[in-house]
Amino acid sequence: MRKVKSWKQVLAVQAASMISPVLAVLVSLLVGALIILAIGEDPVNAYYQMFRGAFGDVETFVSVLQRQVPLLLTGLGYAVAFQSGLIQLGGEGQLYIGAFAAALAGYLIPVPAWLHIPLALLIGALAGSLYSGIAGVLRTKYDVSEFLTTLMMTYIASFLTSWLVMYPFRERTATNPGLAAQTMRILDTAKLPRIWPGVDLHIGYLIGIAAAVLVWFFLFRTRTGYTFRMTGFNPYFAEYGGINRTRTIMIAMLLSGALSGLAGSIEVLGVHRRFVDQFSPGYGWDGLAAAILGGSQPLGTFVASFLFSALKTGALGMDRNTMVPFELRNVVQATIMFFVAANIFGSIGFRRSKRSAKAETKGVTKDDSSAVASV
Amino acid sequence: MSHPRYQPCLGGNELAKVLEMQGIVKGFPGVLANDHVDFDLEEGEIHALVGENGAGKSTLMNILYGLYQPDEGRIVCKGRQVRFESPLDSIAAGIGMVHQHFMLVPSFTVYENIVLGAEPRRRGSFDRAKAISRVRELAKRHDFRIDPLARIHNLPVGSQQRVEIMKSLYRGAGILILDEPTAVLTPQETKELFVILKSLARQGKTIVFITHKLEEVMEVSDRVTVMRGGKVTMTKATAQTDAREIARMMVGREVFLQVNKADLTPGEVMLEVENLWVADDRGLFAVKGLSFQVREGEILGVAGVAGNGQMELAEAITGLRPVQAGRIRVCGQDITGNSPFAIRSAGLAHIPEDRYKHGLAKTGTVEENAIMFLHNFSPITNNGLLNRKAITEHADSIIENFDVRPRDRKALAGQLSGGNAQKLIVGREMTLNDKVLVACQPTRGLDIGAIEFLHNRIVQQRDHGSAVLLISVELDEVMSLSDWILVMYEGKSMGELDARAAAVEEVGRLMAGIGKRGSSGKEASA
Ligand SMILES: Nc1ncnc2c1ncn2[C@@H]1O[C@H](COP(=O)(O)OP(=O)(O)OP(=O)(O)O)[C@@H](O)[C@H]1O
Ligand SMILES: [Mg+2]
Repeated sequence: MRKVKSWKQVLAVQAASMISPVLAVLVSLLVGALIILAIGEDPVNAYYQMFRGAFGDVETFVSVLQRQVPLLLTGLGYAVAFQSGLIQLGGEGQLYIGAFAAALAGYLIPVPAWLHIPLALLIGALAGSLYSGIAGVLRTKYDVSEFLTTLMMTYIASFLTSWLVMYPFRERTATNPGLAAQTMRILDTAKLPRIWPGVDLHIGYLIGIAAAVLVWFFLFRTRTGYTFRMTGFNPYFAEYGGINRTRTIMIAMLLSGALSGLAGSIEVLGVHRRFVDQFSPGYGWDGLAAAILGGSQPLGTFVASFLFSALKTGALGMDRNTMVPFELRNVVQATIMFFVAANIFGSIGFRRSKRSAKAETKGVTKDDSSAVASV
Repeated sequence: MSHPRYQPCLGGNELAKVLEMQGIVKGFPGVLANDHVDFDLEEGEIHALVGENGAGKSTLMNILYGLYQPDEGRIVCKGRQVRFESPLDSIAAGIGMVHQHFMLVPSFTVYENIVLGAEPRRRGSFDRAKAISRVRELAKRHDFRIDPLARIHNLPVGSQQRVEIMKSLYRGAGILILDEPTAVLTPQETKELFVILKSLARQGKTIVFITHKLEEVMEVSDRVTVMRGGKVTMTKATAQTDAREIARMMVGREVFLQVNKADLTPGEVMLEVENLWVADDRGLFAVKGLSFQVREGEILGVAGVAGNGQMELAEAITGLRPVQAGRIRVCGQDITGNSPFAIRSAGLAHIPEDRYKHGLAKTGTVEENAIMFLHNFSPITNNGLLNRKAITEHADSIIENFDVRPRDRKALAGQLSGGNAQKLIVGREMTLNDKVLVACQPTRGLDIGAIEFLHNRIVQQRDHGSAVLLISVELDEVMSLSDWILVMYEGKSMGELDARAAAVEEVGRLMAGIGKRGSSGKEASA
């Protein structure tokens, strides 16, 4: 006696799963407001300025979207790893490696644009992928925790690319006789075109959205995605069912690193047009925050990366127009992470959903299907 | 709606009631797990709680322990209405619960586990000497034979359970809830548990105990409450009822735990184990040079007291544990040291002993759990893509054929009641219809109706030409299902017996390690 769930039921469950992250965000903004009060400023005005800084006009909104791309892509990388039960935290390092490789591909390979862009993106993704693959090998061959290796390799990547761009690959031209630590400018054929003429948003945004859809499809609609998720749910069960653990870990690590490497490549080809030393203001870390707030789900990561990007862009505006410093955004974001990680609102969301469940069960027969969705 | 309520025999002596649950209602999305349940406890009684899988027993007890909040109804404790927001409240009210899956820290010692969270302190730091002496004293008072300094992971299941009980007693529990405590115990351990329970009851402790085994109800309980479909169908003094009536109230019909098994001429050897040596987690040999064969159309039952190498044997055959020496063949193919995937592909299905460790992913949906291993093949996946329609059909057929409740393939496996989770696993593995079935404790946690059904299914699979290796600590199950019985003792075979001719006493003797060693009967005649 199977019954199609009413959309209301499905919605109620989806809403219940969103209560905890939304509460975390709201309460964190409240905490931020208290801090603004404490430093003697007007929180209403500060937040208004923050809002205007992000959504005030087309230009700011476009920069919100622009900034969202690296957060989204690294976030998706983490999501793949987390869904597979891997604690991969090296997105920032993979982003640097990918960015550097894409920059080289961008100015060293003279090919037409239709080939150059995909090629440079691919090379960047591949570089990030190989870099995270090292952690995968260490984990599968020597059982070294990927948590530690990816974390440490982040610093290695950042210092390594710094050295590379300061010595062997430093740009020395007439206009820049080695003053700035950066590589040569990429060829015009490697530049990411704009989506809309006149709007400063490159096609990286579309690539990000496509990646989110593909990651979702991969995780929930393909056989390999199924094996990843089962391994993440219960590795013993996966082993018992014949899922190859080594293969799962390796592919998940490679895929995760590829997404972060792609994030770096898009930054180079779309924004900086060259590799600039220490160009990332912690995209890989904000991406981690997005993946965690988004519950390691592609859609959740998309929404969360938008939120964090807006928060950051808005905070710049707030910094300019009020006495509240930009760092407030760090406090708010860290507070959000604290609430999500400690799952403080998880139990509230749970109770709430149970209460609404009670209302639903009234008059429902016993064979009726439970409305608990898996996603 | 009338709910038959127990009337105290002695003219409603309300004072003797230590606890009453009145009109408890608890719903989960789409399921009414408790439907106006009345339940009460008298001081010093052992109260058995029985009912079908999914009847709502665990839910009711979780409410009493403060893990769930009831939607309606009230709990009256010693005449006062109480609210248990969390286990902290219920523990404070003197209620303790031992879950089926123990919640001990394996690397800690017995005494550390017992006092954990309520440590005696001296000048701010943990007073170990005092903790040890308190635990010693507690063990002595209740006559528990247990070494406070032993580490949990070195203890057999029965002792771990005793540690759980002591943990509750240490916190001053007057009411002790045990959810299917005997499911994981050997008959000997069960006996010891009953001695403990009876002595606790004599000291005035009240005990609620959930079980699917009616002979246990008859043996230890003073009263019994039967649940069915979320409602209480009967509460009676045990002396005034019998196992048949209880079974009828549970299932709503007569249950005959009898298997009809035709004689079959066994065919080819499908599973062959030759001089097998397997080590346990500590690196000691648990299986020592074991050899046997199982043929098409044959059930080989492995009897033995738990912990004599059965678990290691099953894990070695299914590829979950390395083989130190010897050979294993499935359908004529040497699979020694192969991956679980290769072994399954050779034609082996496996009902694992631990349902939540190997058997399923609690956070996955029923359908995700239902397609494990089949996800490698068409029609479940085509060209690497999941085929939603085939998955739906497959999951529904398992739900339908193995009576998994609720009938919802999108429910999370962790939300199924223990018995229904087991049905899902059994359904998945038996639907594979493989040539070899390794079934470990297949009926653990199932209600009698489901056991009856599953026993017949296993025999049916044998009749269709499968070779079944049945590993069970339930001697009755092994005796009634098997064609041949292999008794394991300390990792070795005490001999194989023809099930038709074997006497329970003889098997029991062999299980205790008394009697002849080495193979007999079957191999000689083969
Ligand atoms: N957390 C939960 N979420 C949703 N449904 C649940 C949850 N816990 C239990 N249920 C449902 O409530 C019903 C009663 O479950 P319960 O665990 O109380 O059964 P039980 O009597 O203990 O059965 P068993 O003998 O199989 O252990 C079942 O239909 C189960 O699926
Ligand atoms: Mg139960």
